[in-house]
Amino acid sequence: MADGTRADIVGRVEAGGAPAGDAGAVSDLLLARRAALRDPQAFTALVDRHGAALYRYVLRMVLDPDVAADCLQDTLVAAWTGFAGFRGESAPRTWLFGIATRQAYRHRTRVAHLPGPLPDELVEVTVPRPDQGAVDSALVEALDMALLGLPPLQRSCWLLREVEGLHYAEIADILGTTHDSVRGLLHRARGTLADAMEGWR
Amino acid sequence: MTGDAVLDRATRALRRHTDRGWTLVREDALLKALSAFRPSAPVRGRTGAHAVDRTGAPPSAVDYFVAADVVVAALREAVVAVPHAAPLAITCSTDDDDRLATVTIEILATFDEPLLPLAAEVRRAAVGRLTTLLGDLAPPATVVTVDLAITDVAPGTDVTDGDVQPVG
Repeated sequence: MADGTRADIVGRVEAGGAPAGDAGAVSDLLLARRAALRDPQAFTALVDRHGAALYRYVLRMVLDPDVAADCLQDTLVAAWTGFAGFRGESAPRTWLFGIATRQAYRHRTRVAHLPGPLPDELVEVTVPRPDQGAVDSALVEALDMALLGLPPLQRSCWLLREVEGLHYAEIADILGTTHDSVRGLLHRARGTLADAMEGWR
Repeated sequence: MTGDAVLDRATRALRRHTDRGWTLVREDALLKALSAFRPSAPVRGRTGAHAVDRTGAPPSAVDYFVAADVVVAALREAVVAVPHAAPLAITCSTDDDDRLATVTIEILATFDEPLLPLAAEVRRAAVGRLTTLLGDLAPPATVVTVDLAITDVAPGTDVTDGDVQPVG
């Protein structure tokens, strides 16, 4: 650095991969690096890969479609404005779920003051895709009802592991707990959910 | 079916499930995210110092500021436009007067592409874009080094997401 410079870094961001326009061929990491360099197409591609899963997760954490929409939006804003600080120490998907988890816990305080029966609202939005059978749809509804019986931490842990496929270590990092604690939370969550689903036919 | 079996099946169904709410909120949430303001340091630009007034009046320089975020985005666009190169990282710093002092661009290059000419082309593109953006205060290539660190080489005919191999 030359003399006289104040040496403060005004922009340190990373990107990579092929030029924009062929996002389908690149990995999450390269899309994240492009997003860090303010590439909106890369960010959009990343959101299109993981947005549905993020919404699925936050909806089942906050249990209200309107709050879930706000939560998802805040997650995307935090991601877009925070990508410059993303160093690739975790997978971008994990990083996004970490942000979503923090937002979900923040928004849960709002939910606590909302009136009305939550289960009906939740079931209302779980419309199946055209290729899903009626049985799958009913199973999802039954599972959503069963999830209501889990404490938030167990629910978060179970969703991140069993539905979103994150590793124990990633979940422990996101939830600020230990690998063993995650294992215990999952064990209890599975037992509760299995009991709740026992009567389903 | 046991409770465990039902739970397994329901879990698989939930993994395949897309909530209608996502399709409803996607566009709006994306738009609001992409328009979110990201604060960044100012970089000083200057224009008009060499302008010639039709009346013959002396030229007057006007200083302005560009967000560092905008500078980085402009550099990314400049590098992306260079064939066989893609940006990996862009680092900038300013001096005490907010003038851009250093720019470091790391790129990913297509395998077998001659690196020195490619580096020169990226450097030209970067300096050209900075001149457009910062006017008379754009850092000349002779004063402010634009380092090109070739950190990875991607095999294939273009820079893609293939396995990358370090070259040094």
